[in-house]
Amino acid sequence: MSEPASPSQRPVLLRFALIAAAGIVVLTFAWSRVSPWLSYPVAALSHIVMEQAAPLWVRSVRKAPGHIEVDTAVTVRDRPSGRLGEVTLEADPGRYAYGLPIFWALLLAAWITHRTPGRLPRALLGYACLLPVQTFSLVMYLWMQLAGAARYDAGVLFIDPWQLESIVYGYQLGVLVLPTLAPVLVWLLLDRRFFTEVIIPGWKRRR
Amino acid sequence: MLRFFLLFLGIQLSLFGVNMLNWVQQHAVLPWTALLARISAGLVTWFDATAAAQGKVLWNTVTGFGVSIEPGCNGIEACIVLVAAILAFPAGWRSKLTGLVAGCVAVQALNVVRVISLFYIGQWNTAAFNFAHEFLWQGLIMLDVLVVWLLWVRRATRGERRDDDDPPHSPPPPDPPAAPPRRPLMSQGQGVVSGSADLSLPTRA
Repeated sequence: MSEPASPSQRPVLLRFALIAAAGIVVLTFAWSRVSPWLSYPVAALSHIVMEQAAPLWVRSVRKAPGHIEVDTAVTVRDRPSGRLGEVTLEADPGRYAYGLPIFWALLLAAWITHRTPGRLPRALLGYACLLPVQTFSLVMYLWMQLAGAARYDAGVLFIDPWQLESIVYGYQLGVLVLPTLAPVLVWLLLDRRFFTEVIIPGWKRRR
Repeated sequence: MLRFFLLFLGIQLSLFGVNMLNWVQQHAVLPWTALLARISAGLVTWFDATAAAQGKVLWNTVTGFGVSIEPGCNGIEACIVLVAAILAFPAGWRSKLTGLVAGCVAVQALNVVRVISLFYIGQWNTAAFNFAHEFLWQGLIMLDVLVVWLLWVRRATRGERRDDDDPPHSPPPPDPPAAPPRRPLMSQGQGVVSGSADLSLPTRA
């Protein structure tokens, strides 16, 4: 015979989904107010990554809450005027950092529905875990801007065609998938107790 | 858990790469995106005769406001995540197939709601549109993917437990062949050596 879901467990997932949805709405709005400061480490990490990974491109980087500006050493010709100029890149470091409120909403929903302990340490740990992914997205976004300014000419960027293809792939991945996927994966890793106790009791023991 | 994560990431990255191929974009992604716009327009015109679809653009014929459904807005990336998560999880293929079909329908259904809601939010307030488009709906769609996957996992593992618990419906297997006669044990009962291949202790007849 099939093992019926216990009455207390059956609505847990529905409650979890509703609370998480409400949490995403509220926390994303709250996050948008403080994003310039919360995402400042993303700008700092991006600065380091760009200088280490592509030192030939970076001339200087200026950072402020909610803003990063990169002066590059890449020279391109302006089509209408024919004049040469160096490319300057700009971005909001929080543009692809909205995974943080998603992660916090999942953590909150799991806590409310299942009372799993250790919320605050996990919230801070999740914030730290998401920073490298958000940095990847931001760096890819800036490099894609640079590739676009160079009209996707690998020679102008002093790179091989496969590296240009990698930037295009990394940009798509970093912009379209990772900002929302990363918080879910980090939550699944940090909140395994909710998954193993509520969703599939016993799965972890058997696999 | 580690095996699941590695498998998930491998499938996810591969499918995403396939999704980016020009041929796939031309023959699958763009037609799907145009169809999504037509479905959205078809639903909207039930209660709003001023809406129309042209290619991948859903627009208001009176105000001229329109939303273009671009990569990231067509729900394909969300479906890829769901497909990778279902394929990577250990379950039966029939269960996976059911999850893939039902899950993608659920994700695309919410995506139609997203497109329609953005169409109206954009006509109401640009700042609200930007917030909902760039941040809010992205998170809600991924939550949809997560919840659909969690529901499927619970159903799949429950079915697996049922399979484990239920007695088999097939006739019981025939009795094993009689064990070969064992050599007599040493008279003192010490220093017993098994005569069986699996090193289990020999039984006294």
